[in-house]
Amino acid sequence: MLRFIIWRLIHVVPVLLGVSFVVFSILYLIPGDIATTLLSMFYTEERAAMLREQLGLDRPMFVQYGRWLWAALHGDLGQSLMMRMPVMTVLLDKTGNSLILTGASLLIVIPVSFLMGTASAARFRKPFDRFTVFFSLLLASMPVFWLGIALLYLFGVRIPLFPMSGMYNMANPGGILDLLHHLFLPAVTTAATSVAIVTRVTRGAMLDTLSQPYILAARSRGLPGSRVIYRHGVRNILPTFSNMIGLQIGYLFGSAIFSEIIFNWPGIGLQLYQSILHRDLTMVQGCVLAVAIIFVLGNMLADIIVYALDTTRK
Amino acid sequence: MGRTGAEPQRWDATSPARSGDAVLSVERLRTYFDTPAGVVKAVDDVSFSLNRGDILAIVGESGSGKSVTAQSIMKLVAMPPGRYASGQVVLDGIDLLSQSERALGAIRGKRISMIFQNPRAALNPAFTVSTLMVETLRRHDSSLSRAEAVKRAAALLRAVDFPDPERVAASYPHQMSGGMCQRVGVALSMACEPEVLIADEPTTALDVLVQATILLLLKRAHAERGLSIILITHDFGVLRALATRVIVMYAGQIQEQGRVDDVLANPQHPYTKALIQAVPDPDSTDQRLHQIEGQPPDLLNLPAGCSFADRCAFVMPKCRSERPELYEAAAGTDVRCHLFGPEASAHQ
Ligand SMILES: Nc1ncnc2c1ncn2[C@@H]1O[C@H](COP(=O)(O)OP(=O)(O)OP(=O)(O)O)[C@@H](O)[C@H]1O
Ligand SMILES: [Mg+2]
Repeated sequence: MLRFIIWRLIHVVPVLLGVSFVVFSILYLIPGDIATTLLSMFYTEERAAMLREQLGLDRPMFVQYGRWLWAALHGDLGQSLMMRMPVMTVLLDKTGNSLILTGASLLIVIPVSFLMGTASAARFRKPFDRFTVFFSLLLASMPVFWLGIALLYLFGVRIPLFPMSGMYNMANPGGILDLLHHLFLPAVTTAATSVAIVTRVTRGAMLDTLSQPYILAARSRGLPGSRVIYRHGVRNILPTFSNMIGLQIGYLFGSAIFSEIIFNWPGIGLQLYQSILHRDLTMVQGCVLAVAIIFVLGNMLADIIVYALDTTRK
Repeated sequence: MGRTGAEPQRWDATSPARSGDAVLSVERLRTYFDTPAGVVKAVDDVSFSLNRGDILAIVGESGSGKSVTAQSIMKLVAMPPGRYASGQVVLDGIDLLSQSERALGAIRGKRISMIFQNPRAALNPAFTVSTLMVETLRRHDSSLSRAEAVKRAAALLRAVDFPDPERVAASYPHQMSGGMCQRVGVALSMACEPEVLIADEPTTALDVLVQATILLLLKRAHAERGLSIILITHDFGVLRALATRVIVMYAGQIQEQGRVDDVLANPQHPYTKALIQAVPDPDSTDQRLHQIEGQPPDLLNLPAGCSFADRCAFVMPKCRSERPELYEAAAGTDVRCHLFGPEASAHQ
């Protein structure tokens, strides 16, 4: 087990290196003078010269990459030009908020899709199963931004059950309850597509499992249906399920970008969006890097869980 | 009755009392599958009975409905797509098909149990042998403590000739050979000392040597406990060695049934004749394998007449238009063929 974790950690290194290189090249894919672009409206000859010196723009690209990477490994991703503070400081703050949103939507996806997927497979072609299939198709065909705006309109404007924006009440910031209240709509929006996908995959895996001979054999020994389904059946879809969830972590992060923008949630997605609008390129770099790292680590975590659940390798 | 554990056990072919009363009877069983392409009549009007302490074999080509018959008896066919269009399965006076799932749960594994064709696939890959055995034992005896069940499981594993039951109990299916998996399958099926065992091709997936050990285990349970067995097989050698009665199935119907000796020595139905010819006789110098010409009929579109008519060497006009009933062809042998019908004398 420990060996697998170490092995898996070692595998993350080249992936992250690749990611960092791509992120680094963002600066160089932009046409024109980088210093001019970076500074945009803050441009002065003086500043441009300083920035060129700072970025080492006169050196070969790989030397620049090396220097950038070295600094990044030490927690220095440069200055945000728009916010006038270190990119890292902003990222730490915003990543936390995004993780709260992603985590909350994950906490919706896991139980909802698991229960709907397994329960519908157990009721194959019965009304609940048909409803689940229809419902997940419906959810899957709603774009995140559309669903977000619809929920915002329905439960923020028409029936004002939930706040429309932010993480805390501006006038009267409360504790965890206030946070949960603000979290609900964006989390549901973020979770929707994943719920649909994971439910369908879980249902499929469960149907496949329930058609296996060992299920028939378990029934032939007199085990009650509930035990056959929820012990003999479910146990065998856990690897598939956790794998699926692991993949969704990255996907949820992607959906969260939309929800953050719609619900004005101060996370990395909203930051990325604003940084792009303001051409704050070092910030864009930082955001993309953060998203990529979380994606890679999420997949690694899922692999480790799948490994732990797979008895055939023990 | 108690298990004798580590002592070597012997069986005596003459010991089981054959009283002639039916422990299990199947009457007019019809199991259909509703598929998008139409209704598959996998079992179509099958009636037979299994006498206490008897071994009844069911033979037939692949797809003839043997497994569906077996699963129907225990009401294990998935519904949908399966459906019991008619019939009764009576085990010791209880009609199984009309029982609730709850009531069946107490009967399956306890009074009637099953062994499967693919031994490894019949064991859940996520659980150890011990988990499966303890679970089964405690399902049917809630007073049994876990520790007692573990002990009992070891005794059961020893009874299927594992010298090291503890090690086997701790194994996952993928860590065992096919033969070991099937011995575990036998141990599981015997765990609660059922009266009736349905063995669905228990040796088909195994190599010859292992086949013999599994058959020996079944024979031993039969001899020692008077276990009644329905043995589904492709193998005429197995049939000859174990069974007393035989049912020949084709296209979901019984074509011939009778005592094994009679049917093997003197097959009546053209299908049985062809089937027996298809098996090389170890005693004869002619070792060519005869194939039965043609294909089994499409169960979605069964012919109006006899389902074997297209492949039959003795086909008559009547066979194409009228479905034959089961007729008594010889003493104790029933055959579904117009050759033995009431007006058959006119043709012979
Ligand atoms: N779930 C199902 N849906 C539709 N048809 C089915 C289903 N299960 C079985 N059948 C059909 O029922 C028929 C009988 O199948 P069965 O498994 O009983 O054959 P068998 O005699 O056991 O063959 P084999 O020797 O290959 O095990 C087959 O034609 C099969 O296609
Ligand atoms: Mg079969």
